[in-house]
Amino acid sequence: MNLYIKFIFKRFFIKKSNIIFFLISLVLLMSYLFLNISQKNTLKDTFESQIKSNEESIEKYEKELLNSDEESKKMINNEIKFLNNYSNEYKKMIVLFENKDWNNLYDIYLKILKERSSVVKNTENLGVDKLESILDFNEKKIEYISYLNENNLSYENIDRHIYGVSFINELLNQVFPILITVVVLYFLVQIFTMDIHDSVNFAKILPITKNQYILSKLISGVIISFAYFLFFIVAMFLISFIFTFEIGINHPVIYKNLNGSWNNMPNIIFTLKAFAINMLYLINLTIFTFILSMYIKIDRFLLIISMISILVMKFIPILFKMIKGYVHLLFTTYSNSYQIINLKLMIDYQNINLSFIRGIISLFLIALIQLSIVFLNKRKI
Amino acid sequence: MNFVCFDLKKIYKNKLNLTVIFLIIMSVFLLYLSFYLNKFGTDFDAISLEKNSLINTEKFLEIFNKDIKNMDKTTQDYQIIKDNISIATKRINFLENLIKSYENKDWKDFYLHKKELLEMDLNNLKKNSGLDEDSLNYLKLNFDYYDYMSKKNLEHDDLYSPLNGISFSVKSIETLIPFLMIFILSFFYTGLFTSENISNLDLKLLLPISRKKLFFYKIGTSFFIGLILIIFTLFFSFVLASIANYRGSFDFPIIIYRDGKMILESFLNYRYETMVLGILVLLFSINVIYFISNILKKSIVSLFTSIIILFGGYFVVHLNIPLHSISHFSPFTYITFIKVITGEMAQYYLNSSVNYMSGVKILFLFSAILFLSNMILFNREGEDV
Repeated sequence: MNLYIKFIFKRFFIKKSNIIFFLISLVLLMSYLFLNISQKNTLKDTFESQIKSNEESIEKYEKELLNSDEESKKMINNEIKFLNNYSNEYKKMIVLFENKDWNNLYDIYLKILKERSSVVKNTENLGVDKLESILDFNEKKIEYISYLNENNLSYENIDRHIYGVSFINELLNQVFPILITVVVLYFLVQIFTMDIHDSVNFAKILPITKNQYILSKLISGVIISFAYFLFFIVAMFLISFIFTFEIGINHPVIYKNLNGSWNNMPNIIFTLKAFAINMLYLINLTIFTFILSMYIKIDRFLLIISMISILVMKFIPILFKMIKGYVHLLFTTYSNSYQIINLKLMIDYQNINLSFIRGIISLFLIALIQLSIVFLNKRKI
Repeated sequence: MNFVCFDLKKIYKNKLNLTVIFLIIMSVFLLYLSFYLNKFGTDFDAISLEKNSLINTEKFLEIFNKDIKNMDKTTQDYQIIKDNISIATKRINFLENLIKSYENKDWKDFYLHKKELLEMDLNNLKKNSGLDEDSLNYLKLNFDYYDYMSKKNLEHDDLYSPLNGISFSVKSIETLIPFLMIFILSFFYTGLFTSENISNLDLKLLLPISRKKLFFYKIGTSFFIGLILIIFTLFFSFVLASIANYRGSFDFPIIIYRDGKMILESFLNYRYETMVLGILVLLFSINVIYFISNILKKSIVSLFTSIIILFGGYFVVHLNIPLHSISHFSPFTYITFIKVITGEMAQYYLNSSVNYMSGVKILFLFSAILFLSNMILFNREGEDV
């Protein structure tokens, strides 16, 4: 059996296209990192644009001053003073940002964010939904900046991460659910159909039992999918570290609790939890593709059918609301491990079973069910 | 011509291709089912909300009538209750008429009553000023929809989840082309373009046909297959929706995004744009897949690469906000061509250059470049043999 697994690996890695897809994935992920790095000064840019907009407003107010009565003049002057104060604070923050004096920057920024929240709360003519979304966004920022301040951490754009583990977490949310699924499916299809030529399975003439054949294929599939996943985790961690000199272990992931308030979790805990979910997801993906390969022997058909099946399983709960309660029973739900840990899927699907622990149990049980399907139908091989 | 028939026969004879056709049927069916359940709910009643509203309003009216009997006519509370009675009576009248016209399938009246009901609700909401601009715009759009449907005397349908034959066909093309059709077209085309490459031998070079003819036959066959698949999707959607609801009319309204606002216009005004851009997207996809197949030769590698490039090309721009300002230069942006024509993509990207005209220019330019490259590559193939 070991010999057969080694043979599968050799045949897999001898194919140039597989190595090319590894490299293309690497280039894609690096481009994503560079795109994020290009936006690391967004906060400073926001301050600058805020100063500009304040200056424009002051200019407008100064023109209004010329044709106003005494009472209005007093109000406009107050408004100008208020805007000038803010502009000065923004200017101070720009200097602090350039000097990387993070804690002082966070103090001022937090003060402004809190003031902004109270101003928004008192603003009339804002609909309830809009008011809530602005306040919610502000609360998220406050939670994030407070955490950075308390733990003496350097600033990182809340939406575009660049530091080691932070960047890995962003990939787990934005890129990996699609990239890993698609590329791993392609690799799995090759592994499961490489012995079949013109509908004849040449593995049947090998001196291994059916059980050994199944185990060899599944083990090779799982190892290659893990290898692909871990290779990019390690590679992107190292590349982001080389460019930023930050590992981002202590930076936070900000997520919403079930009661609607924002909470934080250190990156490293978050990543380890997400890893566990991802590994089990990849095991399930491997077994699922193997089940399909027992019935569909032609590689092209297997690839297209497995891709569409996974797409359908992923999108069917969005189309049919009544399925949302059972969505934890589909392994495809766990493709985005990030959204399982940050409770987004639990809130979106209103399904309490989509927690970390229950997710692990569900994935484990689904894998067992799939495995039993494989062994019960082994005559199909 | 025999070669074209041979290619088509190969696809027709392969029974596994039926699985892919089955996938189209299933996807269209699931899409329709989701729209149907959205509209009718699990109790299969499109006006269950209105019926419940009628029961509740009648209950409130009863309470108001009881309360007003014991009230002093000079108090402010009396006046408020009196106003509420008047609103509730009016509402009951509208709701009864609405339910009656629904049961009689008098759609002109049905939409007229819906409009009147919404107008009354809008006026009340404006008085209480409890709505933000977005919600108000959404309600106004619904109001315009009811107005449009009653004026044009169109059959019962839904603006967001179309249920009639023609409107659902257009929606299914809008929803399925960017996702399902990329898979299916890539699958058929890579099979077609690489089927003669067996064990590193290009068997088509042995055929007694000139290379130019062979090239045009391949492109022609793929265009024909693409059209058949799209027509099949349209036809199946039309038949399914017509059986379940009504046949509908081409005059159905679609949402147009213009100057940051949503307005309703007839689909008839955009039918030619839809056809032209749809055909250009098909030609572009054919050329991209042909180019990939020409270079990679192997069927499964070409299939996977085509899917990755077509999807990747679209999502790389779609998900990266900094790229939105240059999205009109990417031919992949126009894959969701109906959304380009309606202006939805321009609004999403905040880039007014993403429109029908740029779509025509960019898709034509890229298709022409790829077509020429494919022709050169094809003519050079095997020259050194």
